[in-house]
Amino acid sequence: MTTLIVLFCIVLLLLIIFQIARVRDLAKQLRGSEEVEATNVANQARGLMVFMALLLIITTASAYYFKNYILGFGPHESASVHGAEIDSMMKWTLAVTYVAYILTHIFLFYYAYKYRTRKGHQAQYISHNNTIELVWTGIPAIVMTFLVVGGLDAWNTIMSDVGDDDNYMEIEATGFQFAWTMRYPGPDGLLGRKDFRLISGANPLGQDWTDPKNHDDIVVNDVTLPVDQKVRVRITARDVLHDFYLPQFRVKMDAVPGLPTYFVFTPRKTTKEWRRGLSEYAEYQEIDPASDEGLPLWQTQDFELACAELCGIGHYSMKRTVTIMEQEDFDQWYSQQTSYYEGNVKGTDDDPLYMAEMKEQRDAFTQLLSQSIATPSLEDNVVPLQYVRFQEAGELSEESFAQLDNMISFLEENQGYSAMIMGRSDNAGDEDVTEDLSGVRAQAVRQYLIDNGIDAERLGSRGSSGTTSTATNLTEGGENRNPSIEIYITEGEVSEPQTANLSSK
Amino acid sequence: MATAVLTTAPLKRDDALIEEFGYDDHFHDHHHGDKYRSNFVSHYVFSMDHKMIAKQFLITGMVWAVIGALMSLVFRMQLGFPEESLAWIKPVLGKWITVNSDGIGTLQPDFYYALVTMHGTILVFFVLTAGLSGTFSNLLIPLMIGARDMASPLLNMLSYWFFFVSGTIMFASLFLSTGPFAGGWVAYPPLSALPQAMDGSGAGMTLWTISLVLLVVSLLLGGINYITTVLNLRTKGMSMWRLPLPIWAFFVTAILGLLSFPVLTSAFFLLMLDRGVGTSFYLSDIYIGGAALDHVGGSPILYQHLFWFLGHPEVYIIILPAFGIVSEVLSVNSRKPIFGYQAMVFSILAIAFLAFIVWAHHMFMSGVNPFIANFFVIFTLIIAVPSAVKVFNWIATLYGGNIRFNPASLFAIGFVSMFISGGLTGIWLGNSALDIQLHDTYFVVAHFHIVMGVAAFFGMFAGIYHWFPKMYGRFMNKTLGNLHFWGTMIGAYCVFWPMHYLGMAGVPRRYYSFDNFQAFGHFDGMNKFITIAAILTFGFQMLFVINYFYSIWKGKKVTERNPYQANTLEWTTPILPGHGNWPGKLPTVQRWAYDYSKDGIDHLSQLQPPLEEESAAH
Repeated sequence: MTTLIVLFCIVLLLLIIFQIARVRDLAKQLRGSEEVEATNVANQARGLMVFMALLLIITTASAYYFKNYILGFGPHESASVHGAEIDSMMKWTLAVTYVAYILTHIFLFYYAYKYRTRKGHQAQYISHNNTIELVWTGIPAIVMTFLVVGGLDAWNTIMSDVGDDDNYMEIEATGFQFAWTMRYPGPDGLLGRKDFRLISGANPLGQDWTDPKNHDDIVVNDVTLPVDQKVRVRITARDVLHDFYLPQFRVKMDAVPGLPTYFVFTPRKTTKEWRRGLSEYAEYQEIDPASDEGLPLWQTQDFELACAELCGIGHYSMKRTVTIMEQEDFDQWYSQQTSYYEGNVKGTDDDPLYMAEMKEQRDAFTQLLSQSIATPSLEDNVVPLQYVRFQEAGELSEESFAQLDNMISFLEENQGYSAMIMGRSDNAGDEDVTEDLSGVRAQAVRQYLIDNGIDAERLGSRGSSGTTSTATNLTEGGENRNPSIEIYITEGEVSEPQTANLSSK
Repeated sequence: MATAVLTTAPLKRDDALIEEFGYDDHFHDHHHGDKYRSNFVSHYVFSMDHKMIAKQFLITGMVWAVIGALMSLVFRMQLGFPEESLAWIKPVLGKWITVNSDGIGTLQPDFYYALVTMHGTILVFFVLTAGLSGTFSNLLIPLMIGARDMASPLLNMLSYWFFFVSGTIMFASLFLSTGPFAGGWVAYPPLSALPQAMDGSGAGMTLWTISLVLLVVSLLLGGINYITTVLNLRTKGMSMWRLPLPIWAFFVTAILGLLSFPVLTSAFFLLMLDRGVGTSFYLSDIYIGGAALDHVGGSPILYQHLFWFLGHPEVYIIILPAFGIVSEVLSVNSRKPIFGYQAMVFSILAIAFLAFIVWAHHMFMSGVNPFIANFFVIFTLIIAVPSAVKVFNWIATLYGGNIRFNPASLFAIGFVSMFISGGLTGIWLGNSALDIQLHDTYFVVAHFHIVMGVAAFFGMFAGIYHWFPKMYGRFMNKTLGNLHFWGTMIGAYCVFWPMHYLGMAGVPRRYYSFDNFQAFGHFDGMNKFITIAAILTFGFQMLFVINYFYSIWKGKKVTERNPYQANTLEWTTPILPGHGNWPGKLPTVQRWAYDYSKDGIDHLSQLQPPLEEESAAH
């Protein structure tokens, strides 16, 4: 309803203005157009002068009013070393363009006012003047030369990459829909290889774990950097274009999928120093409405990382906090970080090194089992399960399952064979491992196999029967440790090896 | 320079001069009965008459301008008053406004981006390129050079209808369930190439590319026609150096378009292949939507090069016609020749040439080798020189004049002010070192809106107010026009000037909300101010629209052929020229177009042969 009323009012207002305008034009015809026209010219010309004065005053005053928010001025002097050059270039450009803005506007509006049409006034026939044309081609050309030279000098310094003998630290920023992830090189100082085909939930950056440089790389969300240390940010994107934008540091560079970019900069203020600087300005002494403790704005402000290239509907929300610390504080922070590999990958199915090791074990074990079938001499038929381990009460440890699963698949593939599972006492003189316990252990293994679908008929189990094994080292290059469990494979029914302690030779 | 007032006999009237010196091309012997006016459809719809096509372009452009401006008001509401309920426009915007349990309607981010994208696309391509150039090139080229019509009236008609179909497709994309394209008017891949990246990059983007390819066809048909007409159909005596400045501007604009739009089309074709066929021109190393894509080896930056190779000339395609119109309007209303006619022509040519070698200044921060910035900064800042020359020449044209104030001349003066304000910030942005700070911030938004948005509109308004009598045989209401000028002048500065401060504070463009960042959140008051100013400014544009349509039927009638005492040929035709423009012979041209106040004579039409005792030609 209110909407309708508002719309109605707007339409009404337009109609009123329109009618007034019509009446004015009609009145003009009645009153004699020349007189009305003269008033109109005077009004418009005066209007232009007033407009010019207001424009120049308001634009200047408002710029002054907002100066403490504008980068490069007051509290917002650059927080990076190279940013100071940009700030000074900007001030020079501001000065030059401001003078041009003021002068051209004064001439434009003043001439429009001064040379307004009046009775008996005649225009002058001035078609061209090559001298003056040359002057006002030359002046801008000279001014532009200064700006170009100054600007390019700054640009080439700022954008030059690090040299071989530079002391710098390299970090990597990766943008994706809709966040940033930082990667630090860890103690080796080197970032490991990446490949977008390796990206998965467990490997958000696609790090190649076969590259040892990756093993100490630290992956975090926010940016933390030491003050006065040159940083090279390698900038990458995972899906679409993003832009690595640190407003307070005058850093901005697109993140392009397939084309790593970089930006080199040196922070020169810690977050604390910057906040102290802000505290001197009235704009930042107000209470921060977002702060629960009622802190003033300067105390709650942080440096920020934003995205400056449209990347989708969450473009406006890709925020990370940037913290600049003293070198000691940074070193402490850095040493407390765990590498992504150590914390999230090592020993999991996502770890190709671990998976390779597991594959090696499986192959060796399968080979052993196949051998025992192929050459059914007694000795070969006893196969140690050296990766099967137990908890104290004789329950299987988790690390055992891999080898047992290998055994299950062997038994499934070779249906005609049975296995006697034999527990063994520990040879290290461990008194705890009694004959009973070895029987319990063997039974636990048997149960696991039965639970996983192996026919109970095909499986037997027994304890060590008072025998003590002597040291054998059945795993080549493996751990120097005797197996707690051995199995004896036979064709047909389960049976015992002929000699009880045969395996120990 | 001023010489004594000549006291020769009264000057001969225009029709007498045409009768005496004119060239008889037997046009009317061949056109018995006007076949172009035979019925409603061929007169108003599938018209081949350049004047009618100009009006079609103008009115279609106005419809698009209103749609595009309304879109900007909706997203300005989100930026200025994010807490305010927009439930009341739900009947129009449907599911793009979600209403929560308290009845507060919120604009969704995906539609916010769709609106921003469509606003840019519509205003740049449909209004300021097709609408502006299509209107005035069509209307003025034949009339000002003394031609019966365009070189190919058929291509001219097709040009409009391709534009119309292109617009229809773009309009249809607004109604897709996944919404129109929403990845920014520049349509950078991979965002624009991958439907997984954004809803609008699906069917919306397909329609977007098809629509723009058709638009390019329209612009090329128009452009080649304008060039041919200017080169071949100038009447006797109309040498290139006697062309009025608008014609120079339209001519160079058409050349720019002809050389750059095909490059844009090729960029779009490659994009279509990447989207549809699985090529990898622009795509490489992408993991999106939980899967690594097969595309390897492409470069998103290639698209940017191709796009901006059009994109930069495009801004001159938009602003050059305004240059020409403003030069003409200022000269006529100052009763003075345009100052430095040849310098004006050379500066147009210089700007047009430089337009082709500055495109990468849009890409300083896009990951191209920083070294190439060295070339592009130099060429970019050189553009400031011919631009400055133009500004000084316009100001010098006012100097010593006898200036009439009417909506056309006011808008022309306003144009110069806007061009100065927006052009000077170009010196900031063209400098790559400052671009590190300013790229993709509101400073850029302020810059291009003032220099190519508002300024081009001012040129367009100056042209419409000035030539409306030629289009419809009536005047537009002057009081409303003046009001329109002041509202727009003040309003546009209020909308766009504060954006400089936002940009200098580092606030990025294309943000749906500034709440996530402390650094960008200080400007609530300013954003409200901008939004209110935008709404009011839009209201003043409605005054213009009302004035336009009211005046077509009810405006004050034009009673003399040459109401402005202007020199150019369009004012030597009948008040409402029929097909063929001149009823009898074609006029022949005896002098340039800017003999105002020469030797004390108010104006000397281009038809006037040299007078006795006349001082030397300019």
